[in-house]
Amino acid sequence: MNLRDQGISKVGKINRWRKKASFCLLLFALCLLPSASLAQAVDSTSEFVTANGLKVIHRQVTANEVIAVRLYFKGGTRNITEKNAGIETLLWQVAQNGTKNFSKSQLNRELARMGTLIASSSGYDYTVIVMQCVEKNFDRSWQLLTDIVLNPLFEEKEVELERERLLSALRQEADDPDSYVSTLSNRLLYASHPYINRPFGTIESVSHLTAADLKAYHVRQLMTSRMLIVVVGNLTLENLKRKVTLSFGKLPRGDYQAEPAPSFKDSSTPQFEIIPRQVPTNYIRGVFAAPSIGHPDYAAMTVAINILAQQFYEEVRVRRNLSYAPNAELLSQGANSGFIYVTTPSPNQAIKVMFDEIDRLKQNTIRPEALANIINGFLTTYYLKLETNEAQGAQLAEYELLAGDWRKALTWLDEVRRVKPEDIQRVANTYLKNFRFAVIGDPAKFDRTLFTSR
Amino acid sequence: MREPGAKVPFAQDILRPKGEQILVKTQLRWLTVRLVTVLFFLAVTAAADKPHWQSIKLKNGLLVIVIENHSIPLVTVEIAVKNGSYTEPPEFNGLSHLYEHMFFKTNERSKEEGYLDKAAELGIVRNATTREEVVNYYATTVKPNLRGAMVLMRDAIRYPLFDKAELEQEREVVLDEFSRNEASPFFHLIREVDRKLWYRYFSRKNPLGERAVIATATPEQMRTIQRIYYVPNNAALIVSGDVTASEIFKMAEELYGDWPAAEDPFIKHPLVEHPPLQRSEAVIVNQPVQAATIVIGYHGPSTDTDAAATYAADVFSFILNQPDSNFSRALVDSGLTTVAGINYYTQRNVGPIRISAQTTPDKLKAALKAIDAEINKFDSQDYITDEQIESAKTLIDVNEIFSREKPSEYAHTVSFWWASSGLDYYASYVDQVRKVTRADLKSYVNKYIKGKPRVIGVLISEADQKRIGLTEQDLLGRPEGKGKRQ
Repeated sequence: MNLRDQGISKVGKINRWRKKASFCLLLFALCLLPSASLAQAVDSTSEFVTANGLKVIHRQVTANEVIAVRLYFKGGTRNITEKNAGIETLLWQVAQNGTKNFSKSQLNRELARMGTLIASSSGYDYTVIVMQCVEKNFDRSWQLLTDIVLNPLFEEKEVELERERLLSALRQEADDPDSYVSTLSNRLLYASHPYINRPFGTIESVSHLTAADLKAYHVRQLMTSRMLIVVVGNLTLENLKRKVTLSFGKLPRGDYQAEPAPSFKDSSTPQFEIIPRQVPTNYIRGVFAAPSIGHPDYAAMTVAINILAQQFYEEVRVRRNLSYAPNAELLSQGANSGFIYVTTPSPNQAIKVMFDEIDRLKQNTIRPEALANIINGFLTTYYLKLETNEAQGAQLAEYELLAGDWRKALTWLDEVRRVKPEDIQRVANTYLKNFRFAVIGDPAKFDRTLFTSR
Repeated sequence: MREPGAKVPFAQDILRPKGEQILVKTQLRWLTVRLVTVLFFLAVTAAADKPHWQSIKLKNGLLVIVIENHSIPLVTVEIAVKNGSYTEPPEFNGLSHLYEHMFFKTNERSKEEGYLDKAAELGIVRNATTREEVVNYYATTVKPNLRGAMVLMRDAIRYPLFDKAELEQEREVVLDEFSRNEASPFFHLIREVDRKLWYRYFSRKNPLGERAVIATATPEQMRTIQRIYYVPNNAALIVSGDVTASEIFKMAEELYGDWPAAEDPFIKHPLVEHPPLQRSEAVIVNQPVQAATIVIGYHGPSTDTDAAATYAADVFSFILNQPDSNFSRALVDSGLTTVAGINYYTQRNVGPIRISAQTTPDKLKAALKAIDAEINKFDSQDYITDEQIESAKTLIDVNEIFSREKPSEYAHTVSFWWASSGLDYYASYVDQVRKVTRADLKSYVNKYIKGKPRVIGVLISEADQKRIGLTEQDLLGRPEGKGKRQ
């Protein structure tokens, strides 16, 4: 749709500095909620490890006929260098174009026949190959998936085809200011960090990747110590154990040791980079180092960012109509970061308002009832994230890979409930500083001193 | 049949052959989805093999639809209105969208406390979208807040204030949204193709509207829209999630039953008739881009007048967008384009068919020829196989299962279909798709695509256009194996 909708899941304005009359209703709702569904999810989730060391997380869901499989390779950007950046992205794209047992045409026809989806994505911390199918087609879909993972052909022609597609995307990355400002601001924070070697590589690195490179790299990936499988759907644990053992039981364990992502270096000073460009509105994104998903401050930081996003919405959009899309978000990566973002014809005015809101968060303690409102909003977004089996699998894996234990996903709401107003003030002071701003727009409209003042 | 933000099988086929849409957090998203969201912004959602909802019509004409799904303790309350750009003459172009923005502003009932405060207390995640033929508003919250959400949505739809100061502020917000669209190169391509495709009544196909209209919008205009279109007999209330139909029907009667009915808006304000293209047109759009992007638009079928062709259109699109189709092989596997696809957007009032592809400027002319060569074969007996026809039907079927897995979004899907085809159409959709034959596909191609006037647009940088010597005449030139390019 060429119309963006009204902001990104805004929970709405909260006058968190004054009393609310309907606090009792809210408490009532809160008491009712972390309900049977969550308990059921806890009970039905388990893990096992195969004899050769492959860890598998399984959640049985009987409410629908969809089965979601996520197969991870750990490491992400820590596996790659400037020279071969993009190799995992390219590898797993090409892997889907033909295997020892299924030609490209056979794979495509079989997937279409069943309506099964298989895709890959390489990120900063891991690569994942996902499969989504309906229950009745699981056996055959699993066969295709495992052959893609274990037996890809990496034919020259297919490597060339996928490489050109990736290069085409890379060549275009500056065309759209919205995505480009994200790339630029991340680059400021990721300097001197493994994340600087992006999972999708550069034109230079991808241009030089060959079929031989992919084959050699693939061999090094196939060890159970690097891998994790998550399956959510109406599939019994016994059936899954059989399937995993049969498909992956002969893989070597290997000696991969997952280590936490290193912290960002040199994040103690603000930065500002401008790309002068004539655009209809100015694009602004400032990033900052933040606690990662397993960190004790993560829950409080999540709440703080949520408050900030709502305040930006209220003060920048609703009250001052300076922007359609002010936002603040916290990512979930091994070395984590957050960002503030706005598009506006009046950059200095907008960022001043946003800084004022950040200062307010640092200087004031939020009222407990307002905090409760925020947490109520969390319940909705939390359950929204659990609507699909695929999303549940992603959540379990995220906690397993980044926080060390998928069980922490099940106690997330409890962690959020324990957040106190003073925690929010503390994390705001600890993390909401040293913003690395990348902006695209009219240089005459930006006050560099203002942008580097926090 | 497409739904923004929902499943995007067409898009995934275009840019990532397998399953892009399920990778919500993919790091590559920026590389892939940008083009998709602009070119193919309306994603396919399949429909039901049997209704997965229960519905009643209140005495005032309000249709109440309930989709029960008890897997998660969430409820989504959605109100859809048959409004949007198809109701907009030029002087109102963009005001359905501005109205949408005003929906969550202060209303008479919430004036005391402020509407958004209430929403926050109820933990409501809310949003809205404006399309050509529907505007939908939705609020998702946890189950105990169901009634609160129903009340808030009622107050918003029935008692808007259109406060002048709030409207003036929101106009600026919408204009920034407009600017964000303009910042995307693809926006200009689609807009220029659409201007030519809907040459008589462009405003009716342009939900974003026109800057000048938005910038001068008044509360009176908002009230005009409200009076004509925001009436119960032109709206649907859809509630999905952890609810029972009986409790919703009762609550709907209680809360929405006294909303007074009014005249059917489309009696006094009938839909315009988009005249067919008299001849093919071409447009070259220059933007600072690295690739060359092609969009070829045709007038497709309408659900009101040629429902049978809409089923064939969807099956045909699903077949061609598969990576193993002749179309994909000739264009993508050959290396001529990096992406290529075809899409039909189901609409009550002339749905567009779009063939889209992206390539390098150097391969552009060859790609254009190749696309024409494929179009010329669309009705050949051996262009599609029986297996592909069956697979397309399965894909549509399975897509529906995936779609139902997410009740909060399924409500949007249902509201889209209610507006653009009617619920009966949607309820029987999968059955109808299963009946599509090879002859139906051929008939669809010959009636709407092959040899028909079209609009062909190319997005390319000015420098590349000069370098390769591309003219509009090139786009209208002679296809291989045919007389005039269609």
